[in-house]
Amino acid sequence: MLKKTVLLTLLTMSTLLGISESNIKTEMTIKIDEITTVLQDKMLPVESKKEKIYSNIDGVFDYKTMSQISLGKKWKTLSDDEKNRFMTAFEGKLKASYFEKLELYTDQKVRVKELEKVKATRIQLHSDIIGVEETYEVIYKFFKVNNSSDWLIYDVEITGVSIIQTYRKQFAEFLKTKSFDELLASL
Amino acid sequence: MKYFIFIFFIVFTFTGCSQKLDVLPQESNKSTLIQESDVDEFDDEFEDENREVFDPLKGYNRWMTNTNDKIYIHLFNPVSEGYATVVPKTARIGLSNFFHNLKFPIRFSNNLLQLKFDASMKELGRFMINSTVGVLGFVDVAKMEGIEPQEEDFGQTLGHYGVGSGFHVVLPFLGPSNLRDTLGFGVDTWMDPITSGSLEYQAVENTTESLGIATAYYVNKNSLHPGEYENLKKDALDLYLFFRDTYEQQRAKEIEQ
Repeated sequence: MLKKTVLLTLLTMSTLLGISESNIKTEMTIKIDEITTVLQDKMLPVESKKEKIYSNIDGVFDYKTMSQISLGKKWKTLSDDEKNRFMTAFEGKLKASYFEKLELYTDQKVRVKELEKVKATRIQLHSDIIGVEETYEVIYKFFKVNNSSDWLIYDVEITGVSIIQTYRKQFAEFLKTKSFDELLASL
Repeated sequence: MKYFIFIFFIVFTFTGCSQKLDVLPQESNKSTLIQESDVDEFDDEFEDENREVFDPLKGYNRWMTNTNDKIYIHLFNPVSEGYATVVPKTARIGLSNFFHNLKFPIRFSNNLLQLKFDASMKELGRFMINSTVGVLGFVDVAKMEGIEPQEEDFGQTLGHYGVGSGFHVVLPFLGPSNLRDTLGFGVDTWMDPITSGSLEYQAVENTTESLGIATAYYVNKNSLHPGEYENLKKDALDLYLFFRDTYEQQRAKEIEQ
């Protein structure tokens, strides 16, 4: 009994919430559908919409990895405390920005397209947002988590613009003239 | 009860240990942190963040970006919003389709120039269907039938044949561009049916008229994208660098396709 409980507790605590390769397309389709439903629900207050959407994406978006890549070489020079503060701020920024973008496209349709395995540890899920005029291509980029069969999102590319690439460039430029604390404040 | 306290104790110490191993103590159970060895792999995938961009017009570009910003926020967007309250969305989409259909020669010839014959034929088909069944292009019947527009412009054609982007140039009103795309825009405008020119099919009388049409075109287009500019702006730490970088990324992708 004791052994079992300990094991169970430990298991739940260390479980990664990624998706297995064969499920990426189906699970992402479900997630995108759920998000669309939440967004189109006119009765739901904005705060609950946010809450629902964030809990929907939290398991697949790897904010920590995103934070790390977005800071590039700077990351290694930071203290643990700085890393933590940055991750919290950046996660908040990414979520807020994602939600605001979604709000613009409430009546648009999303078409999930093909899965592309770029290499052994990278998969891209292609999708289209069909707008009133144009169609926007959105690519979700997954990486394979070390020593596991789970996949997590480390970047999203919208019409050719990579979110992480854009932040990476901006952060590096910012840090050329300003301090890390100023960067945190601006997020 | 004793057991439970014991279990909790174990769990706590255990997480304590694993925290030591992890670079990040909090919430390490929630998601991953990539290993040092993986960082290099990611670094190769993304562009070197410290790469210097050749930007001789930086001073002017910054100034123009801020000027454009003021024009968009205080003039262009309010005008578009006002226009949107008067003209119903269906009509605006119709007009947008109409303009898009008229600009067919630009897409068709640039597809041909890049030897994309399939895409050229699609464009030709779209033009024929939409101009007739689609009532002079007001209804995009072809798209409903699954024939998507094949966007190409002369900047992309140049890029397709290996012409580099040159340095970045911010155009008045139109926003981010570069040397190659500005030249491309000039060529596209030259063959654009809704500008005044010497070509057979160009019915526009003079520059004033073509400027009027261009204004209508952009206001109508902008009215279909409310709030987008403001939204995008929020992602910028530095407005100019943000638009420069996203523009170049987007164009590189378009040329690649």
